[in-house]
Amino acid sequence: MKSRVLLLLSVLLVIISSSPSLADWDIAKNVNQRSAISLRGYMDEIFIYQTEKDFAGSKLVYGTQGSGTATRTMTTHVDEGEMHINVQGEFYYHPYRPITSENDLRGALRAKNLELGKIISESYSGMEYQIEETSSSNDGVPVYEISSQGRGTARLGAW
Amino acid sequence: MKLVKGFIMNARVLLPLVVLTFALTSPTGLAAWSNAGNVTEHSYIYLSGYIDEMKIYQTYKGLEGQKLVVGTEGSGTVSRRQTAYVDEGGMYFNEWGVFQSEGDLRNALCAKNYKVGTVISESYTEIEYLIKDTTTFQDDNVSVYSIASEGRGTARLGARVKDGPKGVTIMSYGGTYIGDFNIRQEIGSGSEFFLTCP
Repeated sequence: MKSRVLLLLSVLLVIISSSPSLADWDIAKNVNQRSAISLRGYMDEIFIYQTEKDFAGSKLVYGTQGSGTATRTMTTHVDEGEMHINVQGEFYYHPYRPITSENDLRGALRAKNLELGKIISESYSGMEYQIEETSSSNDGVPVYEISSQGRGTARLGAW
Repeated sequence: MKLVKGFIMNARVLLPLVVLTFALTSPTGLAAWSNAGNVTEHSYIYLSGYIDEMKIYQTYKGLEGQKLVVGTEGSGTVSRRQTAYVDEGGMYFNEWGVFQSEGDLRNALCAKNYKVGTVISESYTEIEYLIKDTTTFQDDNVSVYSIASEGRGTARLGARVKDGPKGVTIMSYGGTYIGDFNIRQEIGSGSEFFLTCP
C-alpha cells in the first residue's frame, strides 16, 4: 500500500431512472443510516443503494479512495418510494506515514440517552498532560459538561 | 352409496392437504425454545497478555433468524465489557472495549438477520490502539446496528441490507480505513423508524 495516490479521489455517481412505480418492499420497509468518519491515513469505501434491482427504480453509488486527512458525514434514508442522501466532506491529500512513537496516555468517555437518542463522546490521545472534569446528569433532561485542559489530541462529538 | 364413497375419497385427499397447509403456513415468527427461555450475559475482561476468544449467538439453527459472532485474538492489553440478551424473538448485543497492542491484536464482529435481510461486519487488525462501542439489536421486524470506533490500525467495515432474504439488495457498503480513524456508523432497517433525525 504505497501512498502514491496523487489525489484523494472522491467519486459521486448518481444514476436515476425515473420509474413512477414504487418498489415492493415487504420486509425492509426503510433503511436509515448515519455515518461520520475522521481519518488520517488511507481509506477505500463504497456505498451502493437502490430501490429496485436491475434497470428499474433509483440507484446511487458513492465512493472515496486514497490517502490523506478526511472528514465526512453521511446521512441516508431509503424507502420504497424515495432515496435521500446527504454527504458533507473535507478531504486533504498527503501521503500516509504511520506514526511510530507518541505519548500513549489516553482517555475516553461516552454517555448515551437512548430515550432521547442523544450521545456524547470525548477522547484524548497523545496527551503530554491533561486536567479534566466531566460530569453528566440524566435526571429527566440529559446534561453533559466537559472541562478539559491539556496538550495533545482531544476529540469531542455529539449526536 | 356412491356419494358416501366419493365423500370418503375426497376426505382422504383433503385431510392431508389441510394438515400440510397448516404445517407450511404456521407462524414462524418465534423460535421454539421450550427450555432455555432467554439468555442474559454480562462479561468483563481485563487482560495484559494473550487472548483468543469467540462467542456465537443465534436464535435459530441454520440459515434462519438472527446470528452474531464476535471475537478477539492476539497479544496486548485488553479491557472489554460485553452485554448480551438473547430470547426467542431476537437479540441485543453490546461490546465496549479498549484494546492496545504492538500491532498483534485483532477484533471482529459480524451480525446477520436472515428474517429482515441485513448483515453488518466490522474487523480491526494491526491494532495499536482501539476504543470501540458496538451495539446491535435484531429481531424479526428490525435491525439496528451502531458502531463507534476510534483507533490506530486497520478497520474494515461492511454492511448489506436486503428486503428480506430473497428481496432486492437495497444497500451494500464496504470500507477499509488505515491509520488514525474515528468512525461512527448507524444503520437501521425494518418496520420501525429507529434513528433520530440528525
